[in-house]
Order: sequence, then C-alpha cells, then structure tokens
Amino acid sequence: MKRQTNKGLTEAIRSIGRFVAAALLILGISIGSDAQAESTLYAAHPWTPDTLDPALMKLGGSEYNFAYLVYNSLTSFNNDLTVRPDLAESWEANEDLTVWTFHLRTGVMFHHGREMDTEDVIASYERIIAPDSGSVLAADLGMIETMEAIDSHTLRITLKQPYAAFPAIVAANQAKILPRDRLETIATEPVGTGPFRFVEYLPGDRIVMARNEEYFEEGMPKLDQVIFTIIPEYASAVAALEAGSVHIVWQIPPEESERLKASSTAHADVIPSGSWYAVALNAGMPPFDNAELRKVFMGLFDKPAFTDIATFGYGTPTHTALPPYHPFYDNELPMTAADPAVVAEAIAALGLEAPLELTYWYPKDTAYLERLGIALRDVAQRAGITINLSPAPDDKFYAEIEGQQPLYGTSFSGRTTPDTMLYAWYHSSGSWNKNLWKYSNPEVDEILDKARQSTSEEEQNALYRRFQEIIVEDGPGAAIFVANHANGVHNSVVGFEPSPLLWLDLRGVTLNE
Amino acid sequence: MLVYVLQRLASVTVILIAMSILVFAVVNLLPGNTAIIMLGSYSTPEALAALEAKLGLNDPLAVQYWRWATDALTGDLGNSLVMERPIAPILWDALQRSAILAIAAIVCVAIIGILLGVVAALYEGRLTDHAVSLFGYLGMAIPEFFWAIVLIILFSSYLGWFPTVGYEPLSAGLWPFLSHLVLPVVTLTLTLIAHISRLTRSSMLDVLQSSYIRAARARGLPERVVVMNHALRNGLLPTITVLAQDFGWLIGGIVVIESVFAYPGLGRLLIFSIERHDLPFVQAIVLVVTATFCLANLGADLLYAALNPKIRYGASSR
Amino acid sequence: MALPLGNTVAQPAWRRPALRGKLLVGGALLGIIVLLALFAPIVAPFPPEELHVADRFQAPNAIYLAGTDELGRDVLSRTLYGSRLSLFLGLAATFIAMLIGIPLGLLAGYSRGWLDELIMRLLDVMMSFPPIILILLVLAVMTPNLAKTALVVGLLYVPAVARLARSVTLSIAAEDFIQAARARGESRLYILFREIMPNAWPPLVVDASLRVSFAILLAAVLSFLGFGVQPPQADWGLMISQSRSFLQISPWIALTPGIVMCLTVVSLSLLGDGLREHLDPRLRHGPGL
Repeated sequence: MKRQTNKGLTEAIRSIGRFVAAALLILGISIGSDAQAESTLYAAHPWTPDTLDPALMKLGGSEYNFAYLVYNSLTSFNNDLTVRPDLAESWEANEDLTVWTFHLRTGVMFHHGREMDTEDVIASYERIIAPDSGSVLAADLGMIETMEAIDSHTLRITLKQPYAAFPAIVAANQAKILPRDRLETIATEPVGTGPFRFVEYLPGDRIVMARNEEYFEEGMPKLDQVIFTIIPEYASAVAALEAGSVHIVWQIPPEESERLKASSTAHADVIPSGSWYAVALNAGMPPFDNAELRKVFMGLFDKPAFTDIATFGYGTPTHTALPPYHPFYDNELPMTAADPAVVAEAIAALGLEAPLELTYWYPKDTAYLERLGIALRDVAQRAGITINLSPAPDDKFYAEIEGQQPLYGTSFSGRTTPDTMLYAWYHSSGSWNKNLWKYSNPEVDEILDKARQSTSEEEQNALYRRFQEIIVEDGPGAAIFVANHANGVHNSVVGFEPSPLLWLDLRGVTLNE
Repeated sequence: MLVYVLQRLASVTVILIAMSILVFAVVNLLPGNTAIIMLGSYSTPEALAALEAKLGLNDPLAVQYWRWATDALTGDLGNSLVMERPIAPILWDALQRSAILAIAAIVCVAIIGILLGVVAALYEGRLTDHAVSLFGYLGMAIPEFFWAIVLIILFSSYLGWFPTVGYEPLSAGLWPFLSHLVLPVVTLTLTLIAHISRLTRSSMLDVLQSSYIRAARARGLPERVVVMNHALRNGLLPTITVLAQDFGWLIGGIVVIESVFAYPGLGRLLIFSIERHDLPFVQAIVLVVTATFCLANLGADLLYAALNPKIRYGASSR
Repeated sequence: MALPLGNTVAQPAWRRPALRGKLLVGGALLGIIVLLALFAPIVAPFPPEELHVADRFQAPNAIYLAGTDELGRDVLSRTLYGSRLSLFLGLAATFIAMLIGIPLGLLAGYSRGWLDELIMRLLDVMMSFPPIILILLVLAVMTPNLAKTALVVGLLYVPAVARLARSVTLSIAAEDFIQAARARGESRLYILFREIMPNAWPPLVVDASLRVSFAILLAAVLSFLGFGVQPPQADWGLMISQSRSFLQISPWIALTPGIVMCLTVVSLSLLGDGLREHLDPRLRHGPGL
C-alpha cells in the first residue's frame, strides 16, 4: 500500500523536476545574453540622499558624492586640502582680506545647454544666504556683505569682516553653482556643470548619472555611466563588491577593511581623514560647569587605548579637532592619561556633594561612539565613577541631547582650514560651541581671533600650538581621535584616489574589465 | 453566496476605514512635529509657523484626517517630507517590486510547503517525516535576518552563484532579474514553509484516515488518484486560509529581507521613512500595505467560500 | 461530493510515545536554558560587560568557551545574560497578551450578542494590520526600549489570544454543566472565572508556550531592525544584529546567541506541540500563528 503511494508521488515529483530542468535551461541561455552597458561604475552607499538640492544637503555620503559629480563650486580641494580652482580659474583679495574677486572659467556649459556666468553664482549664493533657506551653509556665507558682477565672468564679493580663507568657504559641499533658471526644480531635476549629468533617482534604490560630453576638463570623465546604489548593510555591500556587482563601496567600517585584506577581487583604500570623534563635557551645566572637575575627569581619557577600542586601529588619537597630519599639529605635546585611582582621589579632593553618576549619550548607529562610551565606562568604573550608556536615535540625539546633557559622544566630519576646523567649536562666540558645550576661555578666544586674521603661517603655527596646549589641559571635553576613511574598491577600478574629504572623485576613473 | 460576498465586502470596508483612522491617530497623536522635521534644526520660529499654516497642521485633527483620507482615495498620498516629492509614484514603484518578491515567495511557500506536507503525511512516522519536521522547526526557529546573512555568505561570497543585493528590472534580462530574486525568496520561503507543511501534513493525515478516502481506496482507485485528486483537494482547504494569514507574516519578513538584501521595495522605504521621521510617508506605506493585506484576506475568504460550500450559508466569522 | 473534513478524533496508538518524547525533550531543554538564564551571574564565567581588549576576536578556547567579541567581551557570558532579556521579552509579551486577551475572549464568547460583535470587530481591525507593520508604526513615533517592546509585542498578540479564548468559551458554554450553573442563577463573573476558565486552560496553555517563542523571534527581529532592545543592553537579536558585520571574520559572536535562540524556540515548539497533542487531541491543527 505505502509502496504504491510513493509511486504516484515519485511520478509527480519527477514531472516537476522535468519542468524545473527545462526552466533552468532557458535561464542558462539567457545568462550569456546579458547586455553589457558601455562602462558603468556602481558605487554603493549606505543611505539614500534626503535631497538632491546641494544647498540643503547635510547628510553627507551619497548626497555630497552626488553633488561632487553633478555640480561644481567656484573652488575645490586637492587631496592635501589645498584649495584648487574649479569654476573659478583664479581669485585675488584686497590688502585687508575683505574684498575678493573671482575670475570664472569661460565656456562652461550647464547640462541643459546654457553657459554658466556670474549671475548664476550670485543667484546660487543668494539662495543659500536667504533667511529661510534652511541651508547649513547660511551662517558661513552670511559673512558676505555684497556681491557684484563686474562682467559676465568676473565676480566681486565684499565680506563683513576680514577672512583669509574665504576661497575655502566657497568650496563647501553646499556652495554649488546652479543654473539660475532652474532653481525651482533643482531637487527633482538636478542640473549642474559637473562631469556627470543626472539621469534618474529612485529613492532608496539608485541614482543614475551619465557622462557629460561637454565637461570642461579635457578628456574627462572617462566612464560612460555612474550608478550609486543604496545598500544599508555593509556586509551585503562588501559581499556585492567581492562578487563584482559593485565597484566601490563608500566608507566601510574597519571590520570590513580587515575582511577585504583576504579578498582576491577587491581591496580597501584606507586614508586618514579629518572626521573627529569626541567626548563632550558640557561646560554649560552641572557637574561639568565646574572647571576643576572637568580637568580631573579628562585624566580618564586614555586616548590611544580608547582609539584602539573604538576603531580597531583605524583611527589616530588627536589633541583637538586639528588632525595629527596637519602641519600645525603639536607632536611634542604628550598624550597622557592618569591612573584611575589618582583620578578617584582627585575627585574626592574636590569635595563633591554626591558620588558621580553620569549618563553617556550617543547617536545609536555610530559604532565608534558606542565603543568609545564602553571604553570610558570601563575606565571610569575603576575610578569609582558610574557611567550609564544611553543611545538615542539620530534625530533625537541632535535635537534634544547634544548640548543639553552633561556627557555625550559626538562626531564631526573634517573641515579644511585650521580656522574652520576650530573656531566654531572652541571660540566662545562659535556657533557649534554655543550649541555643544558653552566653553569660554578668554585666552583661547584671543588666539583664535588673531589666527583667523593672520596671513603669516609662522604666526598661525605658534598660535595654534599654544591653543592645543590649553585645550588639552582645560577643554570642554576632548577630541579623542580622527578616524580613517576607507573605501572598498574592486580590483577592476583604475585611477581611483580616496579623498580625505570623503568624496568619490570619479573624474579620471576607468574600469578594467 | 452573493450575500456572503456583500457581507465580507462591507466588513472589509469598515475595517479599512477603522484602520485608516488608527494609522492617522498613531502618527498624529504621538509626539513628533512634522514642520520641525521638515525644516530641520536650523528653522526659525517664523518659518515654522508659515510652514505649519501651509501644511494645514493647525486645523482640527478631524479636518486633517478627512483631507488625508479623501486625498488618499483619489491616489494622492501627499508629499514626502525629506525627499520633497510626491509619495504616490515612489510608493507605487516600490510596491510593484515588493509584490514580485511577495508573490514569488508565497508561490514557493505554497508549492514546496504543500509538497513537503504531503510527503511527510504519506511517510508518516518514518525518517522522511521526521526530516521534514526537523527542517520545519529549524526554518521557524531561526529568524529571517539570520538566514539571510548565512545565505549571503554561502551563496554570494563563497560560491558566487547569485548577486548579493539589489534588484534588476526584467528589462535588464531574464537572468539578471531572476538572480536577484533567488536569495530573498529562498530566505522568505525557509521561514514560512514550516507552517504550511505542518498544516498540510496534519490535514492530509486527517483526510487520509477519513472514511471517504477509505471508500475511494476500497473502490480500487489507484493510489495516485486517491492522493492527488481526492485527499489533496480536501486536505488543502484549510491551507488557503492559513496562506492568507501567512501573507501578513510575509510582509513582516519582507521588511527585514529588503533591508538585508538592499532590495528596493516597500519594506525598505518604510524603514527609511521611519528612520528619517518622514511621517506622511510612513502613514502612506502603512495604509497601502495594510489595505493590500486586507484585500488578500478577503480574496482568501472568498476563495475558501467558493471551494467549500458549507461556509456560504454559515456565520460570517471564521 | 463534498464530505466533511474528516476530523478523526481517535489517534493511532503508536503515535503516543512520540508525544511524550516531544514534551520531555522540549521541557528539559527549555528548563536548562531557563535555569542558565536565571543563574547567569553564577554560571557566566565573566561579567558580561567586562572588556578584555587584548583578547579581541578570540575564537572559542579554554578560557572563552564561546570566544570573544570585538571588544574582547566573553560571548558566552553575554549570551547567558542576553537570555534573560529575550526570555523576559517573550514571557512578558505573552503575559500581557493573555492578561488582556483571555478576559476579552471569555467575555465575547460567553455574552455573545452586541458585546461579542463589538469586541470581535475591534480585534478584526487590529488583526487587519500585518504584524510587524503595526509595531513599526508605533515604535516609529516613540523611542523604543525593553519595556515598550514587550508591551507592543504583547498587545499585538491580544487579538489572537482573545479569538482562541472566545472559541474555547463558545464550545464550553454549550456544555451541560454551564447550563446547570446558569440555571442555578450563578453570576456571570462566577460562571466565567470559576466554571469556564478552569476548563479552558489546556488550549490556552498550549497557545501560550508557542506564543512565547513567536514573541522571542519577533522581539529579535525588532532588535535587528533597531526598534527593540537598545544597546549596550543586548538580547539575542541585538547581539546577532550588532555582530553581523563580524560574521565572516568571527562567526562565533553571532552564531552563539543564534544557536541558543534557535534551541529555545525549538524547545518551546516541541513543548507546545507535545502539550497540545497530550492535552487536547482535537486541537492538533492549532490556532495558527
């Protein structure tokens, strides 16, 4: 009886099997016929852009990389962070650094076929400066007093105060030059002057960009098409990289870099970046409004050990937001941590009313800051201080925690000049300082003001070194490390150089099939 | 029958209305100010007030709900806060891609699950039966995200058979299209199959031991006919309802799977919009997904009724 | 031609021993896991948060039986402590579901009429949401944490529990002894809780044991998506989620909690199946998920 059952069933299974075999055969035939697009580079990013309007960008990653490929600014940066010409061929300033004249490149065409001129620059900047623009660059460009078109390709900008590094300001990701006749639709139909033109955006999936035949740099770009794909899981993205279905994975975490060391098809390009990670001791509220306590507490920051724990060796300890590879970085300054027992005694000596129990907040998806907190908690425990860890969703963290809690971990992407790296964070009138930790030290203020207006590199060097000495002793918390930036790169990619500003510079890249 | 269909239609309509109110209420009563989210932390109070007025956020909730619901009925799902573009076309694209995944998975679950269940029932108590049931336990006991990761490592990294992530439209070719579906569908199938195979097994066992099958056998019908024509047809009836229930779990599974496989469907849009607090988008997705689920259930009920005459005259609750 | 779905009540005698096997294996396994979780502070070789930075990414060895994670924490100890969270989530959610669902079901099933209609229709609305979607909707607008996750998962299961309780009540209410009680003039509450409840528990207990495992899995999925337990606390789901990027270089970090979770769910399923078949042969199909 059972035997018979099996027979009927076997037959059924067999006929299914035959069907499957036939289906697979058809599939097999179609594998070969996969139409090969000319040369398309796929670059994976972990998140989808919030906007394609450069003025409103603040997420970074896929946004800034898109802006870099589709638009241009007046100036841009080389990989050593020196300013290079972009849409402006040259520029000069008057004696007291308040009036800047930019000479624009001629014959640069927007993707919709019109030549770029001075009025486009003015319209793009006015749009950012407007009070309700919602652009994070509004404050920086706010130093502009007036803009004046000398002729169709010469622009004069007058500043409200002297500023030596103004050409670096207009290189910002948000300060892209847009066609003044397309400002209204720029978010949905982006038009720029960049090496690639926008083709299609499927939010959460991909952005397609095609080669701009009219691009002003001779012989560039070399690729026919660039497609940003959005892959939130690093493990998935790196697996796709190894399989060759993605050519570049933007900014991979250290563990994926480690993994790629063993890969035969892809590798990790690792470079130091300016992104810095800090533990904030908020001077604007108890208990860290007590400067003595802050000083003692900072003895717990064993920066080399914290860096190792947080980044697995993919970061470099630093004194302040000024990165260790910067010429003004003070290598002589020792990086010391106190014995936890000594810290415990010092805190006891301060005679606080209650034993310290603190909560360390951090944005929840930032693994570096989580591990930094775990390391801090471990050391603090040995000094008799209880620290609880509390992650907050990103939007809540930036809206309600940062600057409003005494202790938290936070991070910033690198800026390009010492002034933009430091002023806003450490000067008592600095925009970030007021938000973050309300630090006020007259000597620091004086140094930063002096350095900003100085044209002598020697003087600046001396000033910034003195600044580092002060901050290491008495800071509003501490920058612990700058992180490396790594891209996963497939071996078929030729001519790709990672940028310390985290951009994907694909102008000169080719694919070697 | 007609009465039954009308009855079900009416109750689904009521449910859809109640559900839309609930979705609207959850999003609007719980904290999180839409205007602040739109303008970001750089907003000025004036800009905020202007925007709130423009969006009609100062109107009574009932008015806001009415506007939202009637717009949704005409296919206007509003604008995404963070992406600043109409929701409907984005959502529609993603829905289609998710539907491909869902349909492929539910078909695989149905076919393989029923097959395994039948096999297990026929080999009841033997090694095959135990193997199927062990397989089922494992499929159920390991959450889909874990399966997904294991499959990615195995089939993409080591074997290199399938692409790990993403999606290619059919226009890119049959194989690119199908190859992107394989791993997500396998993952979804693995986690859902146990339920169907166990159910099929037990209902097949019931049917196989019923007097009706004994009679068929006694009439000397070939075993194949008995199994395929008689037992299966009756044994499958309860499976249909359960498949519809499983569809709900499938949707949950899809949310997870789409994240892991970077598959650009509704699930990923949902997670994106939740992370960005894009509340209108969250609302729209939940509304559409839930409506789809309701309609799937309705379809299953009607199919069940069509196949099983008893219920046509029965009470409305199942 | 349509014949009834042949619900044979009689079980072939030879299948009985398998039942006891399921119960035994499931119960024993679950017992061990629960004991290990309860006595985690005694059993665990290391404190779960203790860092051993020099011993990062150690493969399982004599000191770290299940290896160490990216911070040099002992994976076995963390898994044991994680068990407490996961089991708590599973049990708490199930408890909430039953606490609300059973009285609702009893009430609906016993009173019939408009109250029944009202309760069931409300539950229908809740059930018309695909499970994870409803949770995500709620957690999207609130900050997730352990207690909220348990609560939301529990509430999600209320309709299923209530429906089961209702159908059990319906069948019991038709029995003679209930009619007798009613004839004696007993109060509704008395009948519900003294007459019906004691007879309704077998299917409910079976359901509960399965529901705990669903709740554990669902909570794990939520943790994975970032809407469940928040770090640095870690249940199994979050441990797997956080270590998934290390899966290729150090698979044990994810596999250890993965295997323990799998064992727990399997043992709960075995226990549930065993109980079901043991207590109530008629209910073999179960109420579904």
